[in-house]
Amino acid sequence: MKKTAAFALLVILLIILTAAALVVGSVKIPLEEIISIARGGGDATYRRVLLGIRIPRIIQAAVTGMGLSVSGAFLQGLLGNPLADPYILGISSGAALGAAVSIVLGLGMLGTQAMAFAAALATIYLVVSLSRIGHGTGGATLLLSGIAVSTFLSAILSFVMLRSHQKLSGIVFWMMGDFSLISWNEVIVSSPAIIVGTLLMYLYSKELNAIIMGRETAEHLGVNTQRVFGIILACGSLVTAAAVAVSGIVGFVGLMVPHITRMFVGPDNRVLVPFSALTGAIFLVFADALSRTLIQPAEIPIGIITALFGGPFFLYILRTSKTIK
Amino acid sequence: MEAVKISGLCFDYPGKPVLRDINLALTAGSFTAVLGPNGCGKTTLLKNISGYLKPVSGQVTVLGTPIQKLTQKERAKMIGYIPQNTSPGFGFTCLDVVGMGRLPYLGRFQWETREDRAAVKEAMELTGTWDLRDRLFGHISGGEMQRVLIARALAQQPKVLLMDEPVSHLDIRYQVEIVSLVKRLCDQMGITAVAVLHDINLASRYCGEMVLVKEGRVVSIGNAPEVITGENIKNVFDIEVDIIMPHRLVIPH
Repeated sequence: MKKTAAFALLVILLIILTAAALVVGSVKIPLEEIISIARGGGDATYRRVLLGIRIPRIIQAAVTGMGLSVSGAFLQGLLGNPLADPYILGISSGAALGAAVSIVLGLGMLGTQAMAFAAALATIYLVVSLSRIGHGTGGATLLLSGIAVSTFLSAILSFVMLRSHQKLSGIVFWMMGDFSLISWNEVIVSSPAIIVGTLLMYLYSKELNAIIMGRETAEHLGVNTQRVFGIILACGSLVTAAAVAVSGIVGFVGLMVPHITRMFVGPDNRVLVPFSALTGAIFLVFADALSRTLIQPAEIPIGIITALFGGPFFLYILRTSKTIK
Repeated sequence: MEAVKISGLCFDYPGKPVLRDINLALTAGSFTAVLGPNGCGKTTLLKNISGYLKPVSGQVTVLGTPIQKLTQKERAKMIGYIPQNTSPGFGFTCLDVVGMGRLPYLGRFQWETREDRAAVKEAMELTGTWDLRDRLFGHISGGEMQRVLIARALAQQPKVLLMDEPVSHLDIRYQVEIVSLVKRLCDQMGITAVAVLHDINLASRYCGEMVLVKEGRVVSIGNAPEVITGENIKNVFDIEVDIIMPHRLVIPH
């Protein structure tokens, strides 16, 4: 099986990248040190940086990349729009606003997660409803309502941050995404939600295949499309919210990764989804390592890196896709 | 034997009555054309037969079972439905598309078994689409697409095949090809087919049964000579026609 071999290769690539990502950063930890720390020894400072900062950060980056990519794959299929992803549809902005408000209100980490989730759900509901007003089943209406809602929510978010800058980390953190504040606490609160949401979506890959052919077609193949829509939008919101609440808005991952993966493994979501998950993890671990090394000792917010790849990619899809009109 | 029986069926969309007191009995292996002007409720009738829409009153039974008593998956194993519009898909091959016909047979964690693959292959061979299996569904011609969709419906191993305007966008060669294919499936496999058609000539030539619908009511049922009369056509479509009958067939012009 060619695809099994390709999957195994990607797993190996992720392991190698992770090892490299452990080494690089504002404090460079030599590979020998990492090995001796793994054996229970090693320098105390290195140990603290590796175990307390770098490992949780890399785990969160990988899990976030996985979750956002799978969400993107599902949103693209569900909404029949190759440009759909949590960022472009405004789910990320909604989640960020929910998280920011609950931080200002001092609701704690779980409260922040819950608020981000609720706001993300409300946002996707709003965007999809708006796109159905008038004659809008077309792809463009959906994207435009996503962009409008996203811009509006970002404005409110900026205002909230201006009014309470003591409590909130900077505007750059929320708008551009940042993994520098990740510790084990964040990983424990966020990653399980992302993993559960992603796995739940994966269970509906077959149904998603049928839905891509049209909602009526899927219904007549025995798919309860309304239920699948509800479950996928809820899981996509959960995954996005859990990611955004601890690391801000990392854009374009959910757009790019499924597309590139689809070019190699085809559109069957039962295959595409696991490959996208792995590719997404690789991409964000890589982007995060870049963000720590390009202008050492300072960091570039990871969202800048994903947007540098993603902006041109968006235009490329816009030019090549026949379904956006 | 009656494969499909519709009795006293009424259906409304919110605030708008669509179907009124429809009574039909379709024998197993028959091929029925549903004819009528745009907006008369033909598509709605098909969706009521498939169980996708739930009638306000009356009932549809398929092989003796009331359709609304079945689960959605059970219905998908009995009834193949080809809607008017199908998305070209995100790069699915024809084999992928036909494979989706096995969806009602698969469990949540299950992939296609050898049996499923055999059913898919058989469906594609019956429709002459096996050679298209690796082609992208979005890249084939309209007539080929329609045959692939029929193959997908056959992969569901249905007793009843419902088609909403299967030949409307096709040129005359493909129209004849598709309709004669369906006729052959009815004759050979005992499938009961119902198709919404606009071409009265084509319907007269291939469909043993015709149902003429006007404003949500059945105006006439029967074989072509019974249904296609100048009076009926004038009543339903509001145009004057001459009926010419070559070889005992009815061809209105």
